[in-house]
Amino acid sequence: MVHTKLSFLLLVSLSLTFVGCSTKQIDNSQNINIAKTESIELEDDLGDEFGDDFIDEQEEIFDPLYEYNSYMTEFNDKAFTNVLNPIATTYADTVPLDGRVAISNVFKNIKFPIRFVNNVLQLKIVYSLEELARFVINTTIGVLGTMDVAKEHFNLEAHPEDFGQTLGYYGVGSGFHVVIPLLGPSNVRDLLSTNADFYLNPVTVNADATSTVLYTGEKVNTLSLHLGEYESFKKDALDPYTFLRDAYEQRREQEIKD
Amino acid sequence: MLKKLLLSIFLSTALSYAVVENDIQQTMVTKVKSLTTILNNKSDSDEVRKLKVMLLVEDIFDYKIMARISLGKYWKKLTKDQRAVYVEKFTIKLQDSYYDKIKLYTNQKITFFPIEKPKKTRIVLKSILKGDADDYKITYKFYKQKKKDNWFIYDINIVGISILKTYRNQYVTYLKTHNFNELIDSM
Repeated sequence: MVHTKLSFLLLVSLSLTFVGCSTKQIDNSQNINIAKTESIELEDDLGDEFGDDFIDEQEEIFDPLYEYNSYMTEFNDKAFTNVLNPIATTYADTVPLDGRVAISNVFKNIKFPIRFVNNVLQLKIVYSLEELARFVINTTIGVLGTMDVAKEHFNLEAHPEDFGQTLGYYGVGSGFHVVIPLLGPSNVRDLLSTNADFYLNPVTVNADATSTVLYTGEKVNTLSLHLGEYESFKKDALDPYTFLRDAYEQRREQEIKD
Repeated sequence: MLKKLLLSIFLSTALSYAVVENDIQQTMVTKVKSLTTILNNKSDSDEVRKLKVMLLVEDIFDYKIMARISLGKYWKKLTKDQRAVYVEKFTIKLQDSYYDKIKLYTNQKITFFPIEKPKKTRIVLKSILKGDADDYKITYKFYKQKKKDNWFIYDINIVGISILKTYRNQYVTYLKTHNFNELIDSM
């Protein structure tokens, strides 16, 4: 079963979340330099004030797959720029926004079991009940999930949880970083967790051709609603891979806390 | 070129007005409204819009502190000249980065929450930007300069990712194996 799931993952050839980057050349003529002209006089103890906010990791980050991860980041970046992004852009030009939002809502609604189960596992009972209410309302009044009536009219927010977050909640560390072909950054804990979540997702529970098509379609649709973000995000990177690794881990930490 | 000159003259004489605690939320709400107007004004060129946006945020972004934080322990090792160069480069980089991201969101609604004060000198302002299909949590972190009731933004957290932490992690790691000049060149 695990092998099927792994090969299914690899079969998903058009899905991506994050990828790598190139640094931007700064064209000074276009930039507005409004740094103050007086000399920089910052009290040296000021930095210590921010000690709590920005703790320097003294230990080196354990990254045994560094070479592979860097390579895969570059590969994913090319796949994104040359394949996935153009497809999503054309798709965005073809299908009206409302339609794509509706499709996005349907997929989110279908993934209810993942959120429900993981909220329960984390003992977030109120949240799990809200998820249940959302599912019922959106499937019925929201016409099979196309409209997020629960949020618009009943103020019921989604509570996204997945198995990786559940493990994180109970103190399971992220392990080391792993960049998955086409799917982007992950880590040992989250990678193994996707297996569990795949079972809970009606779209992917049978790892067959239909699942692949639907899964890919969902990714394309989602990307079409977030065009330009990846490219903009990339620009902050000095080194693409370590940047994405850091951003991914920060985000997961935040998601686990929520 | 002339624009740049006028701008630096204007700014070097401009009062360092910042926002006081009670006004933080209102100021941000107003600024966001102005931001949307600026970005939606298609009759202005991209460069002009960027200029206006930077002017808008100039009194609440503390680029110097951000530059300083981004280098971690290496800041202390820099000379005054090096610091000046770095702050200049970093400011430009941050402005580019910020404007680039802001450009993507023009019509969406932003809701601000009441401010939280985890420490006497720290304020956290959370907001949610309602995107097409997803909501984005954006958190602004303010700090207070000593002895004044002046609050400045020193970090922005977008969907759990701290912009400044990201820069800091990158630069601190980079400086372990490269020198300061190489860092400047890469920026």
